[in-house]
Amino acid sequence: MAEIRNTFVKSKMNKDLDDRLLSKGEYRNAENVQISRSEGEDVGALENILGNKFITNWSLNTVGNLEIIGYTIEEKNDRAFFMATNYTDVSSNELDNPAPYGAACYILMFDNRAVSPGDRYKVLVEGRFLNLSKTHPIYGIDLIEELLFWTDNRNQPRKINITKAIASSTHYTTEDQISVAKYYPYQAPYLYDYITLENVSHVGTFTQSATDVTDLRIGMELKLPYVNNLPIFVREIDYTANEFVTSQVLSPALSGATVDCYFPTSKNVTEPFLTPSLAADFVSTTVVAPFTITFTNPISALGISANMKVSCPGNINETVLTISNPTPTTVVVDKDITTGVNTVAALDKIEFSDPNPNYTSSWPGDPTFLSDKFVRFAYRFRFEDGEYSVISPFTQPAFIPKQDGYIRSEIGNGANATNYISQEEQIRASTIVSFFENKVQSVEVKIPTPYAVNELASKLKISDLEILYKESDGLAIQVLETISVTDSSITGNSSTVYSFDYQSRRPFKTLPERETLRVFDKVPIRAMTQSTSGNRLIYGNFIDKHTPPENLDYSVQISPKIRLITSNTSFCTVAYPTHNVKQNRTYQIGIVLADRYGRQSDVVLSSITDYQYEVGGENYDSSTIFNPYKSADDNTIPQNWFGDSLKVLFRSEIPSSVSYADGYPGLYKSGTYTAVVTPAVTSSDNIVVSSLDPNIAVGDIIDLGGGTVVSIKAIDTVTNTITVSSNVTIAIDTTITINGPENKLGWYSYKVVVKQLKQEYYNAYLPNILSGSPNSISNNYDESYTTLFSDNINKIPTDLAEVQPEQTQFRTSDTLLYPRVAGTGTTSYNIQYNLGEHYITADTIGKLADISPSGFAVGPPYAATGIYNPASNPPIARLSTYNKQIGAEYTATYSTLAIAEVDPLESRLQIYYETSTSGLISELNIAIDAGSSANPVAPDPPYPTVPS
Amino acid sequence: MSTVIEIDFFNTFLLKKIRSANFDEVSAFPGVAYPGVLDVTGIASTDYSEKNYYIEESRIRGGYNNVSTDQGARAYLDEENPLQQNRISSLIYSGVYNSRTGVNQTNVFSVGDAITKTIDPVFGSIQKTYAEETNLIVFQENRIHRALIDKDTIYTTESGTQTQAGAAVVGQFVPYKGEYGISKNPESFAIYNYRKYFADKNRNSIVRLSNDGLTEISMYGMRDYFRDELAALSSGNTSQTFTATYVSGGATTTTLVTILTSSITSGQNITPGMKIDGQDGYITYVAVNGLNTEIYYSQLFTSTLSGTITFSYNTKSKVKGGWDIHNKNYVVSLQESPNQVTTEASSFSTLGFDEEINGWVSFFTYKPNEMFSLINKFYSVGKQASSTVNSTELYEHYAEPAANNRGVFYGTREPSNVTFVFNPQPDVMKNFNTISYEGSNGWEVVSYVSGFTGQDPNPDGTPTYVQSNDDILSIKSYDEGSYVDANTGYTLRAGFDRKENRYVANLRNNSTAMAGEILFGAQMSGIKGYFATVKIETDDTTQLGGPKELWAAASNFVTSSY
Repeated sequence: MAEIRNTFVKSKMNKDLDDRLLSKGEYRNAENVQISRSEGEDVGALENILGNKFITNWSLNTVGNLEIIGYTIEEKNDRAFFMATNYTDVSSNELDNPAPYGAACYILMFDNRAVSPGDRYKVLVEGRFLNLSKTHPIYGIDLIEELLFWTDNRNQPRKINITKAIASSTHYTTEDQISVAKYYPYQAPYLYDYITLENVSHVGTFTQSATDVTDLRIGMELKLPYVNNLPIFVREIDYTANEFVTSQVLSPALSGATVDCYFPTSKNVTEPFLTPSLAADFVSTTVVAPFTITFTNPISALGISANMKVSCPGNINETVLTISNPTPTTVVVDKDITTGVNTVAALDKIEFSDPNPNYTSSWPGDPTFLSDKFVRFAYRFRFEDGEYSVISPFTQPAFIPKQDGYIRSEIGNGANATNYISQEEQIRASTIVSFFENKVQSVEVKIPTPYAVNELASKLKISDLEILYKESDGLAIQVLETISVTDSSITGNSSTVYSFDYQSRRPFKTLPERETLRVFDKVPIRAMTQSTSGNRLIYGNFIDKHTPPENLDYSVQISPKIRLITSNTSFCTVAYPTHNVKQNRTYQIGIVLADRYGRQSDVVLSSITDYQYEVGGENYDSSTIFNPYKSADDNTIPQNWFGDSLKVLFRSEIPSSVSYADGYPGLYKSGTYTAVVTPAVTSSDNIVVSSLDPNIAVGDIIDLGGGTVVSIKAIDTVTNTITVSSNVTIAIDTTITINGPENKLGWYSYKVVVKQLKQEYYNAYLPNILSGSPNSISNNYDESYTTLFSDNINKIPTDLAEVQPEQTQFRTSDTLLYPRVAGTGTTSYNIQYNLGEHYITADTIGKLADISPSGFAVGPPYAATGIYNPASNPPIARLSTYNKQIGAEYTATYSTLAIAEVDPLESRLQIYYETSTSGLISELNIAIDAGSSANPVAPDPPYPTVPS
Repeated sequence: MSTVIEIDFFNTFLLKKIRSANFDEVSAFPGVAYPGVLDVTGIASTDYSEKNYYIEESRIRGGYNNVSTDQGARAYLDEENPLQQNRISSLIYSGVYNSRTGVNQTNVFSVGDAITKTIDPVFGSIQKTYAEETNLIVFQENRIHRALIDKDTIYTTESGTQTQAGAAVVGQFVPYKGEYGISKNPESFAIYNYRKYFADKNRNSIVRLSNDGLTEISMYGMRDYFRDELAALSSGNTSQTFTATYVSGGATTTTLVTILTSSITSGQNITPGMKIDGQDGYITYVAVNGLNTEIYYSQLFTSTLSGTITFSYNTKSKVKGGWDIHNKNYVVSLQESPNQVTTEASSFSTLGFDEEINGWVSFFTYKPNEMFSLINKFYSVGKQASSTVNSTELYEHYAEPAANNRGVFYGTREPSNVTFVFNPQPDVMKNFNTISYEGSNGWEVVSYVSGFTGQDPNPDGTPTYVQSNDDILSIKSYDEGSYVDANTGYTLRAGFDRKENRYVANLRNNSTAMAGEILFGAQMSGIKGYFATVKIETDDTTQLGGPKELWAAASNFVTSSY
């Protein structure tokens, strides 16, 4: 008999060939065999395959349906890392149901080199915040040294440091700590602070008492309703009696009140005394100690206080001469002010200066460093693995002009008038404002933090806080200081504000230019793939950004800064006391939304409306608004107008969903909320809490500990009552944690951005504007003349583009001038010009003798009444005034300072600039919800109907 | 409802001149030690406002070209297309990481930088990227490209290419020849050295990407198999359901329902995320309470629950791939459903490809959740069939020190078997009479069948045609087939017997009668056919889990006499 004999040496299955053709050595099918490989020297023989042996279940054998959905290996250390979950998202898009409270999500490790089971098989991270789902297996997991990155196309890309996770399985407990995109510090630092006075009570007309006034300083503003349309300040303090004097009589009088007292943290610290605030005519003084000076009554009610300085420019040459025993008409000083180096005579104006409450004799900084700078401050976080957050919004410039921006009036009307040149005269002569420099030397930068400062390391895994600085004319952002979280200023700070005391030190490091452009990081929302190459993370097949709202319902207004007492204020009257929104400019206000990790929308503008909107008696325009010069009708008088600010009226909440497009992320939900139980609950399913987060919803889980878990089945927001699935017993004041769905990538914060296209501008400080000609006012509605010299030659430039060789008179380069200040008629003083959009032009520029206006006398010397320094034959400009009378007439007693604003160029770049205003959308929505309705303003004359 | 917020945006500063009541024409600085604010004493009893003025200044000293304040530190734009996009065929990359210098810019995806690169989307979405040295291999659904990282290719005048360092982080995309992609099965990807393996379900293929380009390794004897099996895998979600018996709760005013734990369908567990049929929402929390299980739901029940409650969840098919470092095999497991649903053999097929023989060696009876190799060893994650909680466990394969664990996967022993064909003189009808094998004790013949003879109407009356062939009674192994003759007391072998180190047995026909057949079944010796397909398997008795070797199998036959 024949024999057929088959071996299996080809070691391969063949399911294609017909049975008749299948060659020897091949086989149709095999299970659990190996042939080409062998555990011994039996290659070629078919043998049953070795099985597998149990290694570990990470002691998670009680977690039902747990499944590994991703892994990576680290051959260098013989380790493997796994992502595991028992959760399956059953929503239609498999994304909408975030892992609920009961979901089990883990990052596990198998370390084959470790000996002890506790080290070999570790749970590195666990918690529902991982939001893993079996619907999204993880194929992008990579290790870069000790950093484990992964993406699951369900959550944003994540990362952990395996060394830290191995050291503690509770190192990572929140999304903030594991996201590749790091927490975005959405709030700008602020430049004000306050103290709180307890038990403030009326004592005398201006005098109040308080429990403790140790921290009170003169100049602090009380957060109280304005009196006489003006804020209330602390004028004097008696630290012994715990009493202080206010700048106004409080109405109503206080009794046992708690009062917050605000102050700017941008300070001058090297001047012992402030700019003189009072002056009086000197009468006489005693020539032996005590040196009692007598003067005319400077003020009716309040006057000189102790510790002020008395001075008389040019006559009192002592460095510091402080006074004591003040009365309304006398003070005692420590020197005779009429002998020796001091020469005060009767009718001389003596001035009184308050002591600088911020003076620090041993201040270590550079007192002049900031004097010619407009600087802004910001900060950023450095995280424990070395990443830097996006830079926070910047503050507004920490700039307060010397003399607080006041041009001091003439003081020289007394006996020694010639010893003093008024500041207006100085400005006329120099064409610059010499004191318009920054008086700020020290800035306490207040940095708001999302958690207590000493919890930043544990909650956000922050390792350093970096204080940043930017000058207005510099592209670079510079680093002032890097503060480690181990610094005592952080470890000992349990508040949510970090104060950085900037002492005018030069920055020590400049950030790369790209950091300026790094407005935010477009870390993918989700990504399907991930790889590491070239020391970079590379994501593929990704969702690039959130869809923003199509528009938002808001309106805009420019009006005087909101007073301190008003709620929802930016405190800009304190922090930015002399700052203003430039007039004669058009502003477009936009809103930028950001998620918690800094991904930002583009600029969202307001919805288009047919009408202005009114709330609280104020009308608001749409997102674009023109800020005109104040007109006489505005009733804005400079002494109690402290600048304007932009206001945004939000008429409806930032939406939680939109219908116009996909990809809208909704609003941020942490998923974990706390509430304080009050009163106690005894065997009841109704829990009353002190307050309810609006995100708490039916179905949320409350884990009361001890195995007691209930879910919410009803919520009463009126009574703050939660009805739960079973009866429970809870002690009063117990803080319960409520666990609901998370939405970590929802819109979290907003910021306001502003577009203003006109570029930097000039004020031309002119020695005079002569209305009409040097000898005539017949043409004063047609023309004026002014002298151009020093800076003004450049500020009002001559157009030399197309000129002839012998040409002596020139046109300007289409420069528009807006007269702001000038003399008028024959008066001896200058006045404010508020001409709205009316401008004047300089048609002709040339030497006085060349232009030779009517009334010009050839001399010698040259003469022209009303022309500044005509003898020098200065360049003058003939101004076309277009039917306006601008300047003083030639018969005026004095020539006075004139100031004209030069219209700047307009940029074509449609750029919105970041402001310092930002906030949480949740808080904004609560405020909108609680606010009164904004109503469309009926047109005048009204149309038949106005929409509701 | 509305609210007003004040904007901290200032682009100029006020410069004022104030004359007050008491100090007209004299020093009239505001009368309080505070920046820029008058106190009550400054209010004019006479109207001096005409003499007061303000201007807006923004330059240091107001001087020409002096430093001016700016509008802001950073700029924003109103984008032309602000809507979210799914960049299915694009890459985006971070800043660099360098632990030595302490630079970690892995979170830097600056909006100010051009950091994206897009491949032609016509080839589908990117499903997998793999960085190899300084190249990035990009697997789209229908095409595979190689992208150069931190360098670029320039084309020379000699029609060649030259690679050079370039500014581009992700350089030019160079396609691999061949219209293969990874479909939507990135889980099939495995790598060993320069070889990458993956499944292309859309083209019924298992593909290798190596230095010689793309090769369809499923065509090595398994084209038909993979064509059928890959196509059979469902592409979308499959809804899985199971039931339990209602106990209490479940009203439309509550979010809690209690079921009887023991009534849950065997092998299933209720876990968060699952749905209750007929209800919106999903399960958020599950707690066992005595004999019952409490189920918390994400919202109020929309209808009252009672009786039998049906739970559901979704699963997807998978083509899991992994590299077996021990046997140097690419192991691929085709799974219609995950272990959570079932571990039954019909729910998956796992098999290995050996590069050395360029063929598929064997199927395996384990259903891995994941597979990977790590320092000499091959691991997989799976689930014990007997597990009642469907937990996940890590296993090490080829763990030789473990005694007698051959064929034992996830705690369950499965036999090893091989099915092969005796096809001598395939055009000659033969009678196969015996079978023998060289190898270890413990193999048995499960089946020995001839080729199909032909089609005939079903004799049982079912209106179909059936195919007929010869088969045999199974042949037990040497040990299993042994018995003691009750009459003689001798040990006899009903299955294989050992002769001269060969295990031999005769074939006992077990065929059913075909139409017109007179002699059939045990009335015949051996089976007849042009060829015979034989399945030999390890038995359930002989040294369970011990090594079993099979060198060769043979069969005697004679030419049929018709």
